[in-house]
Amino acid sequence: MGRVIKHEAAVAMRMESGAVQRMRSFARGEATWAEVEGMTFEEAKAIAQVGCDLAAAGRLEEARILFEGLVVGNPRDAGAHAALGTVYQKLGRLEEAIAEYSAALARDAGHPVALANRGELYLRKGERQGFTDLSNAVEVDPHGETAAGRRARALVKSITLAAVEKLKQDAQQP
Amino acid sequence: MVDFLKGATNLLASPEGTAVEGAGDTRGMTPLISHSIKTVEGVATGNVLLAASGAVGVAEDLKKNPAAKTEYAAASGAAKTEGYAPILPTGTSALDPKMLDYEAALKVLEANFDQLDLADGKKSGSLSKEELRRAANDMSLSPQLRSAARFLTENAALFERVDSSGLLARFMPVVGKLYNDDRIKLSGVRSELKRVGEEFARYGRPERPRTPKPEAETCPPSTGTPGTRPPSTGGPSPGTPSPGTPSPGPRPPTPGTGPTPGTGTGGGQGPVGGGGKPPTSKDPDFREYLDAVAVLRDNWGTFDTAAGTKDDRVTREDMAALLANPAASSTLKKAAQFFKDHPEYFDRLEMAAGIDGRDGIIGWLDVKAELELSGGGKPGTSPTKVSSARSIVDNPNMSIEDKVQAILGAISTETDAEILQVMDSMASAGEDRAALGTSDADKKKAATLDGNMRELELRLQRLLEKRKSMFDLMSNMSAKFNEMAKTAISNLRGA
Repeated sequence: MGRVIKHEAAVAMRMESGAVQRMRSFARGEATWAEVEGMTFEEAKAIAQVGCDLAAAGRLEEARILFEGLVVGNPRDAGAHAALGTVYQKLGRLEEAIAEYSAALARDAGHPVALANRGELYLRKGERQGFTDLSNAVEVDPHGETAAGRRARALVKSITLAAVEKLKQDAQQP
Repeated sequence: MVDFLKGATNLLASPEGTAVEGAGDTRGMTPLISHSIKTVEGVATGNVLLAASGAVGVAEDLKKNPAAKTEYAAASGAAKTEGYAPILPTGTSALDPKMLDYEAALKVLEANFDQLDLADGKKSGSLSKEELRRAANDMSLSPQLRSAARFLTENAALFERVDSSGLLARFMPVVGKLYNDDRIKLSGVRSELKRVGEEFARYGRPERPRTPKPEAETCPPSTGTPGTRPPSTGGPSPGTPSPGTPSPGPRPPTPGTGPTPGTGTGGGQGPVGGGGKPPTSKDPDFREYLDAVAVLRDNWGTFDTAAGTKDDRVTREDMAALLANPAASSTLKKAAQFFKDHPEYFDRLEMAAGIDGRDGIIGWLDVKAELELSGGGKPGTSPTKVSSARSIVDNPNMSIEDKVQAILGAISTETDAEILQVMDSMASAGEDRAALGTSDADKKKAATLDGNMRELELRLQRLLEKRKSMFDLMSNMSAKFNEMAKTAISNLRGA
């Protein structure tokens, strides 16, 4: 019996030392909290899917909490940043949305969701950077695999058509 | 909903930018928009209706895809799992530790592909198994390169993996068969390296198994005690090689002694396989495999005729027939069962001599070549020890008392040999210690030697205790057997 307890204690100590090791890595900034907690990408993806469903159902506050949790858990996840940005955008917190898109693009410069949505927000603000973001979004998602990519394509087309119309009108005026 | 587009259009078509050609370049827009503008302008000037219908379609698209739709798009490639815990806990991996050697071998091959390709004087753009085998034995090549080549020749399954690896094979497995021509190409090596990297990222990097230090077990005996272990580290042989001795006898180290000059077992201290030893010796089943091959060698005739015909070849049918034969001994069945349970080792053995490729037939040459290559034929190692113990146990002419005594005697002989070995090591360590000076480097060496000496002393003490307990046990058993016999005799006398 004593032996069994000893064995269990040794295992517990080993586990504890592993957790301590991960905590130290986290404190040094080498590991994320998701790694400390042992959260895998598949688990994160499942959580993100719930967040997307909540957002689609209009339960934006709950979706925000989920995505904020994902971002805190793994700040290196560009997808989570971009998804949180879309929730902020819907909540009307546009500056925070742009900040999240920018954070996503800092990790993954070709993230279509971040590019498309930030591009649109910049255009709303009247900033020229929006064109670049939108056209980049179309380039990184040429087949419209994401909803954001499809919207970026439609926006680019729409702007182009409108611009041509305007140019024509300008040319006709003396 | 799309009011902001007006503003955007103004930005795009502002007065100073009426020249459409300049729009893309001067405002930092990508060629995509500039090109779209030009194209649409051309269409619009020619056919206004078409442009209008295009605008309607765009509006529908925008309706279908509302702004800021929440979606989770993970980054592509290995970056998507960055920052998340691996599927398995750190330090564990579902992958074979051999994959580490495989990766190292691929890297070496990739870096030296041209050199190997030109080894036969012509550049063919690919490497065959035969070329790799030659490279493994080519002493003019670096040890790392030889080890890498040897690794791939000895691991047929991994060779096949590189062989059928190509640009399209990953996406269309059927295409992999087209690549499978028993020749390795550089593109295949690169593609395979990428694949291995992805597997490591997904399943975790395997760790090399910790093997006990082999020095104590493989030290060459200096006393020449008969029956002790022969040198197996691949170093210079202090003993006398006996080339004419048949297989059960002592076998000298391979380099430079066999018909194939410099087979390279003592060669590589490279990244693959840990230097002079066969790389696959790290497999957990490798020892068992060598035992099975040794059994096959010692009982070749029985295996050969198991299926009914003597054709000097052993097939899977022979193995199955042997397993089904109730008269076959457990040792033979164990060996046959091993090959049945480990088809990869069967494949390895049947291709050991490099004759006829993978045809499901093990020839005598395969067995011989495998034992020579992997050092499995060396006597004094565990298989022989096991078989000698088994021969005692199986001996019908010995009583149970004799058997126990004989086994204890065999063990004590081994202990004696080990004691001699330790004492020899202590003597050489003492000599080394005495030869050291007073410099810093010497002091460091002296400290190391002192540590080694303490370890040896402890080991010697342990061995002596073991020997003493062995004698006590033997003596006690003798006394007990004697007492039993006396009691039995006195009982018989009284009856």
